[in-house]
Amino acid sequence: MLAGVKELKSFNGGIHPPFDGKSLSKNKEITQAPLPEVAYLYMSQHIGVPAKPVVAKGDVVKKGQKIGEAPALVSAHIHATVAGKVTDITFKPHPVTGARTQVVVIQREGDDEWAPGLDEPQDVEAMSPDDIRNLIREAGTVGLGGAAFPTHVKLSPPKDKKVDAVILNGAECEPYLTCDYRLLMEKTKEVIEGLKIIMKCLGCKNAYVGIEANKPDAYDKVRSAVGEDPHIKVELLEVKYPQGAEHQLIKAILGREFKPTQLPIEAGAVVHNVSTTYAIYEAVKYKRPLIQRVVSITGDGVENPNNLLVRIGTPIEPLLKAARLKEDANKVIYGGPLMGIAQPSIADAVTVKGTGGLLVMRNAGEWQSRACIRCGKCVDACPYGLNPSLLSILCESEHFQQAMEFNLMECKECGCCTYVCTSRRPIVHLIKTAKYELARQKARAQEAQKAKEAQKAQAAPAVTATAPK
Amino acid sequence: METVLAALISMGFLGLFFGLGLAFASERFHVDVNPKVEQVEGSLPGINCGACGYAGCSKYAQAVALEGVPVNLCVPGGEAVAEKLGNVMGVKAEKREKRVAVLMCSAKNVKDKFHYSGVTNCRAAFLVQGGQKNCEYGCLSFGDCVVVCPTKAIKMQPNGLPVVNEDLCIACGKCAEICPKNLYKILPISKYVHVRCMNLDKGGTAKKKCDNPCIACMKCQKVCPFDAIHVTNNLAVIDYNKCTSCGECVKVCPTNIIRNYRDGRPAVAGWVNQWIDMAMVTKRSPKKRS
Repeated sequence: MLAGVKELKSFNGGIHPPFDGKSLSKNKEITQAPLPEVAYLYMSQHIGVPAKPVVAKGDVVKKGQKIGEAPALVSAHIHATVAGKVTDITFKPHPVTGARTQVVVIQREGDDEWAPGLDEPQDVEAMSPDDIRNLIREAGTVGLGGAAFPTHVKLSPPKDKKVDAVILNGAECEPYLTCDYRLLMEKTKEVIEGLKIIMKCLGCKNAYVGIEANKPDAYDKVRSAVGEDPHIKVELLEVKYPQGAEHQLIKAILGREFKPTQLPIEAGAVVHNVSTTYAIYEAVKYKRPLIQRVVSITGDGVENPNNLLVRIGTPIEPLLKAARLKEDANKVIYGGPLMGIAQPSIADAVTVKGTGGLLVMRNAGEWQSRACIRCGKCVDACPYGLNPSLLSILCESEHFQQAMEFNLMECKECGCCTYVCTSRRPIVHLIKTAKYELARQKARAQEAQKAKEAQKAQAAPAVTATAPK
Repeated sequence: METVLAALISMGFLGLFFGLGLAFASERFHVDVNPKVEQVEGSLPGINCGACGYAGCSKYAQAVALEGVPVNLCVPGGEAVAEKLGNVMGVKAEKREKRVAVLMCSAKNVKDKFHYSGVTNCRAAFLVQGGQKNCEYGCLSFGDCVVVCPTKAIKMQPNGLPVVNEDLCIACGKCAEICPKNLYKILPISKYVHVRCMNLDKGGTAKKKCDNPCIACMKCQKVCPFDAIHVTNNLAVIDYNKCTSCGECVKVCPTNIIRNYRDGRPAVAGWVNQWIDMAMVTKRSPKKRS
């Protein structure tokens, strides 16, 4: 099956849990989830500026109609995911950031009908790169691997940077999640088509598909779909987390390295995840906005793990009930166990664009963190070559400036260090807190500087009068 | 005898040599320091609290002596220090009212919305879905403000709300800076009627989360004789420029969140007395340089 593969490509550091949970939902075909009665659409489901609602309370909207307009370049449009009536525009805590975010509530009504002008086959051959970019921007496509970075920004590299490799990220290194694997198995042709659209948009000749070695059937399928195309290479990667992170993937496939604070464009590469590529295909080929995605509902807290095609903004409670939530399930995580976000309650949470999985845990326990014993396991595990032990100690004692000197900002919060820590220290949480505090300090310093300048401008004449030298 | 003489002479020459060297160096490498900076710095308390807005006492001293910044900014020093600085600088110190930190939350029976088991400080908890408390505007009770307070004026009560000892508070603003929910306000001590809530939810929702929320009933706005209190965004806000702390709103508030701070003080007097003995400011003696 894997004939001809001599050595698996990989990177330094990283981890792999003994049970990666993929077997739970690996062989479950993608099925359409029931449409939500009420869809809650957050105006900020991406990195960047939140979208501004362009509908009002009481408006009737069709499926795919734009309801949120992106006000800046680094932002994404939001579309109605069901046809119905806007019943409310309010603020709700965001399931990922926890901050109060504007949300448009749509009550489903009538037929599930596309808005005019959408869902029409397009002629991709005749399109220019700018046309493709515009279609992707109009579709509100964002990175569906979890970070939700607007895709059209990734596809518009600065003019002085050359892109010579597009990488399709099929690693899916997060334990438990299987949405990308299922897409590779069931929509192989469409995904490869999407990859070709990306190549055309970037004017790039070479492409690579990276797939972890624990998905040999997906590897075979992709190879046969690619066929004899000499420009697309399919690579088998070592089974290791975070193989699917941009830095590690580029290191493994291209052998290029760049600073963790830089973007992959510095290494001349652009990485897109399988779900994103499929969304790009839908957006460009059929002019369908991003209104649904594959979500893996998995974990030992549900009796019937599955992969569902879920409309964005669907409340998760019915989905979990349909997957037969176990009574003693005590934790629901958006995304995988290493980088996912735990939810405070299943009653209020709805899916967002970046939700690739709902992981339900049964025995999520609590532990006491102890002092660091400097065993160095985290240093071995860190894929970015940092010293997490030292960073955690500095962050815990609030020596944030010193932590900066040890490259705090290069941490991508992948969670390998926390996974291997023998003292069970919440290293990533400490680092996140430090980054938050540093951002606040910076904002405060800027504010103080402004206030001081204003004060000086006001007080200057008075001072010379009262205190002569 | 000869050895003694030799020792005396050699040591004497050595002493003379180094003495001359030092004398030369002190003249040659003399750094001109404005004597006023030293005088001003000597009169400051020297605890480097930062309440004046400068990074420590010496920076403030430089600003006073060289840039003509007002002399009354030292909070722990108060009027006495302002007067001293005024004497040094030859200006009259304007009176500046003592200010204190006020916690704008009076949470009561706020339940947790999930079991939090992360890093035990407020900012870390805030990063996880805005904190574990049901009320997303209120105090998280981990006590970052207690830790950061330089004069130990803030203490955590058993009910999970910190309380500020106004006698010890020097209004440095560190608690206001560190609180991720921005619950602290630094206000003049003469203003002692506060709306101690930040909840922007509608009345019914707020009441479900906390026993003591602002339910935006508008009673305070109607009763205020000075037009100083207004309900905006489901929250009563006091305009401290107009407020005279007359206490009319305190009488009508149905949830007891508009509170007269002075009335609440006897309840905490027990521990206030214990703490009052602690010296607020360890005064540094003025530097003596010839």
